[in-house]
Amino acid sequence: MVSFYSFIGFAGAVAASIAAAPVVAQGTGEDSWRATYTLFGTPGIIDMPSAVALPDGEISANLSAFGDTRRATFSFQVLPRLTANFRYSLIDAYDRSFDAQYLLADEGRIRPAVAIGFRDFLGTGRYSSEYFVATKTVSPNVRVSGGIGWGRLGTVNGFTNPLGIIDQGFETRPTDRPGTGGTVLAKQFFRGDAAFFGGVEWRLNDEWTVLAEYSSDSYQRETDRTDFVRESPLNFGVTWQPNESYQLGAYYLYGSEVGLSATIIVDPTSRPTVSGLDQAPIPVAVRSEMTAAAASWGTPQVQAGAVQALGAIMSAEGFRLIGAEITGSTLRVRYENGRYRAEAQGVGRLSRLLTNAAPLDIDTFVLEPSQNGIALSSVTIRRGDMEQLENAPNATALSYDRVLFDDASGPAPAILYDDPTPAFLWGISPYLEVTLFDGESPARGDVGLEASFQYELRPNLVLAGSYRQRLLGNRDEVGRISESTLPDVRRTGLRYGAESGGGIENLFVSWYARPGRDLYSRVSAGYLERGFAGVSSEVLWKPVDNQLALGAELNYSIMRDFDMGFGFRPACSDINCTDYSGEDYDIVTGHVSAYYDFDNGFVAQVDVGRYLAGDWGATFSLDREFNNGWKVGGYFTLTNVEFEDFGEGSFDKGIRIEVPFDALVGTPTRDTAGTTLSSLERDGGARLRIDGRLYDVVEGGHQGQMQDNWGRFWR
Amino acid sequence: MKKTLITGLLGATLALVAACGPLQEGNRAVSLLSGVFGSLSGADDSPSEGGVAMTRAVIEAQEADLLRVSIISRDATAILLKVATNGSKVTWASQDGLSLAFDRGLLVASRGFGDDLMGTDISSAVASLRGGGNHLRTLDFLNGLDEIERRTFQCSTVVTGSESLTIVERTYQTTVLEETCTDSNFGFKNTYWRDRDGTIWQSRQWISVQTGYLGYQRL
Repeated sequence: MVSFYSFIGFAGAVAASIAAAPVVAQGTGEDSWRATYTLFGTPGIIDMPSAVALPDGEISANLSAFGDTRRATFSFQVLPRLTANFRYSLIDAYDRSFDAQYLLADEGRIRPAVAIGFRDFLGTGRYSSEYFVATKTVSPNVRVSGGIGWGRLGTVNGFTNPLGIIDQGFETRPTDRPGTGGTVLAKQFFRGDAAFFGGVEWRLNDEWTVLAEYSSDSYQRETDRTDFVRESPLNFGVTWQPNESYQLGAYYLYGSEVGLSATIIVDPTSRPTVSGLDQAPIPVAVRSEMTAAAASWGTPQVQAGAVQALGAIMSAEGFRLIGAEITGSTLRVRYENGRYRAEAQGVGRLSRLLTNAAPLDIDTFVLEPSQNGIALSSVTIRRGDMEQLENAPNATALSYDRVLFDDASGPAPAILYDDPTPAFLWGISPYLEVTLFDGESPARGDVGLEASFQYELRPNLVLAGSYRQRLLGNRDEVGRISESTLPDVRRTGLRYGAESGGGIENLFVSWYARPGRDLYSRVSAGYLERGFAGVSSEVLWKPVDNQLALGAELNYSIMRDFDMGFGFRPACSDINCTDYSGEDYDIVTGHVSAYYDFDNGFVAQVDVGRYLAGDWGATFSLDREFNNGWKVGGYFTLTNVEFEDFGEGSFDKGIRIEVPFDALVGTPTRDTAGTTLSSLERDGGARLRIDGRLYDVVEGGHQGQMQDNWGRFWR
Repeated sequence: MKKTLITGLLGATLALVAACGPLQEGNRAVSLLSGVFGSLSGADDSPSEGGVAMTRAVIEAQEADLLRVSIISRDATAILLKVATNGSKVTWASQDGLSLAFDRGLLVASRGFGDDLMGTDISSAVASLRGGGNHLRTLDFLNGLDEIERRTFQCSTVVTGSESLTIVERTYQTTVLEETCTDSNFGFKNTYWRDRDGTIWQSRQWISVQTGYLGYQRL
């Protein structure tokens, strides 16, 4: 039990930190009645759902407790009508579940809103239920919901399934399910007895809401296996929502239990500092007003001096100049933006800087934003447009229309900048590593020191490494290793550094290049990650203005030893991984990938190929990328590993979230924080973990994302 | 540089061991926390006047033109320097990274205040200052989703009186005008102290919903 409370505390800390940002009221001015969060973390009443959607894009974390039951739920409003939830709960044992609800119809003047929902449709099925629910706001402050449920929601006063008219098969709900869970339980959907449920929300004022409901869930499992006593189908509750950032609830449940819930709500579409606290940009210098005109770059000596001077000014503004040259009346500048998340903002700021620094006879700027030493695109901007549109109405849209995007695979500008930054950089920082949901303990953690260095041979050729040493923590207590017949490429991951207390996290050289127009390449070699050393190579085809990109990756890797030194190890030879003998494990893996950037902010990715355990299959990912840098997405991998062989979860899947630090801090930074929920470390569908895969490096510098971020051009 | 959320945030709270070395100079986890606290206290962006008593002699001694500015909701005052001219638009900036641009005395843009005004069309508003009138005004804002939000306001300007205005030992005879603007769910009121040549010596103008009003005096 103690460990569960530490999990709750931990989840609370995560939620609080996510919520640290958008706590300022957005004040949309609409008097829309927000959804009430249930004990399941979903929109509804207390335990029962309602046909209310959350605001588009909203993210929430909900913790609830009553009796022996504990639930922690992460929710995301994927689309205006689609709500998705992931839950980690304690029923009689730890369990995870996925829910989805789709709003079929909005509320009309007479017609109620109608939604269809699936609870626990992908897990072990302990909460498995399906429902239709209708909700009507009968007076400005009273909202009534009623519905019909199957599965757990059909266990109180259930009646023979009305769908039996269509097919008698609907009348019985099959109980067989894979022991490992994790598959879609489609054979059970809308089968077995059905029952009615319903409830009412009564809003006392903006902050307080009183709730009452009739629950059609008999809590059979809890009654059988825990001390839970269910004496009534009626639940009562009250919620307090003082602002748009959190909601607290207290309940009297099933005639016997007191329950509590807390929900933290984050709106990724808003930012507490709105446009951000970035320093004001250097104003545009208009040629007709320039008193101290920059001299023209006539002689080679003047050119070299001018490029050095430009590089120094740029570095004060967060840019690293790679090189510059003048051809006719065009100034071409290749640079790396190290400060601004949005390349569009970098382009806008650098253009204004150049109006101050460029000779008077220059009328066109060609900017080549780069990352990892390779140019991502070429953006052509007329100096006259900068002069004309600065602080003008509608300047953002007008300037976007006048800019040209192109590929930048050509040679670097003629005069390279001699960067005074040392090629060798080092650092020491504390780290905290947390392992979640390892099956026995919800969370384990280590605190220690990390030493890292990077040595830049050339901007696109970098040797980097890091070494960690644990100071305190409990990650050395490795729990049970789950049984499997697959080579232990990931499931024994907890053993890395467990005994040695640390070691070489990574130590490898990476080389980025532009082999041709629209083409990008990467080669990484060395100790790539904790588990594997080897060589990884990748090519990406991504035209600067294209929504589709194609990639291929080919890797050879050897499995590293648990002490995280330079040595290697074989795969274990028994199902419990107590015996290691034989040859070191090595494997050739690779994928072909397709990426598609939809107009509505969604990015889809499909990778097909061979995974680390030698299995073949495909990974499907879908992320929603907000223009301000927030990303929320999910993925799953299906390979030729049988579900029984894979182990708990049946196949690899997860939810991931990436938070841009500039949204939290307000000041510009390219750093992000990312975390993945729910991925169980198993051996099937496992890939090499490599930082700096090409699509992530290239995407920000291409037209699609620049257009999304163009609002920041004049910021 | 990608970190796990947990590593980033809790790493920062480990005051026991400080991050060091050139690679850690931009350790965002540390600045993240300071940034959060800073922005809550509002201390980040409060301009200061530097404590120098403002006299005509001090003003005359400056090479650049000066503008005394206050952000009324933040109770903050600063002296801005004229840093650039683009046609009829003049940009003034403070040393701590704030800037304001005016066109013939009317605010057209702000930068560094958080909720910033990105641009606006003031030509009809300028015309209305010659004695009053009705006009439309479109203001561009950059929202939290990095998108431009254009809001159009219906405005009317009226003369409310005349005033003898003294700014640091100098007195100007001014007409006081009020420009009242509303859109479907918001309204603001700008006030201008304008002399006979059309120079606005003092003004109170709306910047944005979160930043509120700006007050300025030409020095």
